[in-house]
Amino acid sequence: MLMGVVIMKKNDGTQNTQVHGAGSRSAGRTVSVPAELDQVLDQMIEETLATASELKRSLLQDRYMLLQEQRREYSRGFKDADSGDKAKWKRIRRGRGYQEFALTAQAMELSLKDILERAELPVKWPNQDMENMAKKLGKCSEDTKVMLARFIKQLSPLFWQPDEDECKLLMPTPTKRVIIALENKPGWKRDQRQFVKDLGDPALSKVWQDKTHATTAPLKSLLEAGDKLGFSPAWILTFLDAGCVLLADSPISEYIMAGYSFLSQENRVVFETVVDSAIHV
Amino acid sequence: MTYQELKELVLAEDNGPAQYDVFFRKYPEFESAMQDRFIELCEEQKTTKWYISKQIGVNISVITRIYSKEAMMTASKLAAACYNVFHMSMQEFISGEKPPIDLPKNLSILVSSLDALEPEKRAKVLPQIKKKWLAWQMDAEPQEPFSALLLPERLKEVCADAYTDYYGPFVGGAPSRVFALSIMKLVDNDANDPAGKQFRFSQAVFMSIISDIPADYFLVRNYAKYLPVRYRSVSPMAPGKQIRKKLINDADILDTLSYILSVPSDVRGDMIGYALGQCWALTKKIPDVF
Repeated sequence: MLMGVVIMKKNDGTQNTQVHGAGSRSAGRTVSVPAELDQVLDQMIEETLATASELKRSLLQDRYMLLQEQRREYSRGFKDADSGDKAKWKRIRRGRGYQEFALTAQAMELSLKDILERAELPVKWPNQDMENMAKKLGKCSEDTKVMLARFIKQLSPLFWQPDEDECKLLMPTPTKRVIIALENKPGWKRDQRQFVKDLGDPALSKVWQDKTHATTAPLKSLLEAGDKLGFSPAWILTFLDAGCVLLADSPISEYIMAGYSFLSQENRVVFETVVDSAIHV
Repeated sequence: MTYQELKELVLAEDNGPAQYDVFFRKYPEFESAMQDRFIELCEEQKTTKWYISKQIGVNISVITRIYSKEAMMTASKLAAACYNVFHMSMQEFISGEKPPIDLPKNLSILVSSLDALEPEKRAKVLPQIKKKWLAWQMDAEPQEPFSALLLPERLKEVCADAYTDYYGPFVGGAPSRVFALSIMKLVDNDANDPAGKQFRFSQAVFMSIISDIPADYFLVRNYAKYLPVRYRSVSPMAPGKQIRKKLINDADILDTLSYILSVPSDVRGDMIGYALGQCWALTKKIPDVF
């Protein structure tokens, strides 16, 4: 079970694994990646280090040491903090956070898509429109992409934008992203309810019914729901907030694609026409 | 009873906005006041009942029934009367005021792009947009200028811009169940369903009061004809993202806007994208609107 599994790393280096059920109060506040995913990453890092050339290995090892040091610094900061903060740390931060996970993978030159696939969490663009748009963006120059990113920021709702408070404060975890995005999705409330019902996923139904947003759903369910809703997987997994690449060709394309997934049908046509004219200019 | 009095009563109900279904039964004076205003304006214009019925496409008996205060016409027919007979906006007919309408995001970006162009460059872009419109009009079917069937499109537009569900625009919580159901029926129904055509005048007024959006926006294709229109822009001098809303005063831009608003939603996206592409090719800039 991926849901709510967290690993508490003790000072002596041993690990203490705790499993939180969907109804647990602490589970919803967990911002760490599932332990399985964390293990796959560690495994892949080991494999990369084992197969890399000597020069590359030393470079990657240096990077890894630096990341570990940063992590220790972060823990030390919390140890020195007052008791309230410490309790919060224990509750919230046990494994790697989603963004830390993505940054570690990127620093170790590993593809996030490959890691997720190995953990049996395949990701893809939710629909053909998005796939085509990602291909079109691949043809644009970096300057054009910067302009398009500015354009999508203007055109799309503030709701999803990683630098906006709504996203930063209300939706720090994949579960919250999917559920809050579904709750607010333009449509009638009954449509949203029906959508969850049609998915037939008990974990997601449980999260939907918990109005306190204190329960978590397995990543697999969230990615499936996000796929059906047409959201960018990098946005759901919060990798976008760290500027990491999951499916697109660059971080800026990933940003554009996340914004594209939140556009209305009319605005999609507007954006596609602008992209076409930008390619031809 | 005036519109202002009605608005105060609607918003002052204990449990959020008044219940639509009980409200208009409780205050029939408003509908009667609107019938009086209709008769008064008709008399002011010195028009015959026959002329009015021809202009708005209803049977003359409907006009006679309004004159004898037996009935009120549907919202889209009233919009037609306001635009074709009284030459005023629907909101002006209801409240006597001309509140500005805020443009959706895509049109805001386009208008601020056009506004930022130098006059010579603008003179190049605007005819191209008109040409695009003419090309579309060559083989397009005529569009109904006033229709309750525009309501779903407009509601979706407001909600998509803010990323909120369909209850979002109705301030103070969800409207009454009966009201919500009637709107739901309109949004969900096919274009040919008669339910879509019978959007009542009182529903339009109620919707306008609780969403604070002029009634014209929900019923009239080219709402920029008699009402001032605003677009969003970010003040370059102010710190942070201080958004200001600017009224469009330029006649050429208003003219272009009316072309764009007159086309159906699926063509409009293409037209806005084309116009933005033209502006972009000249300036290489996208303005801040948020």
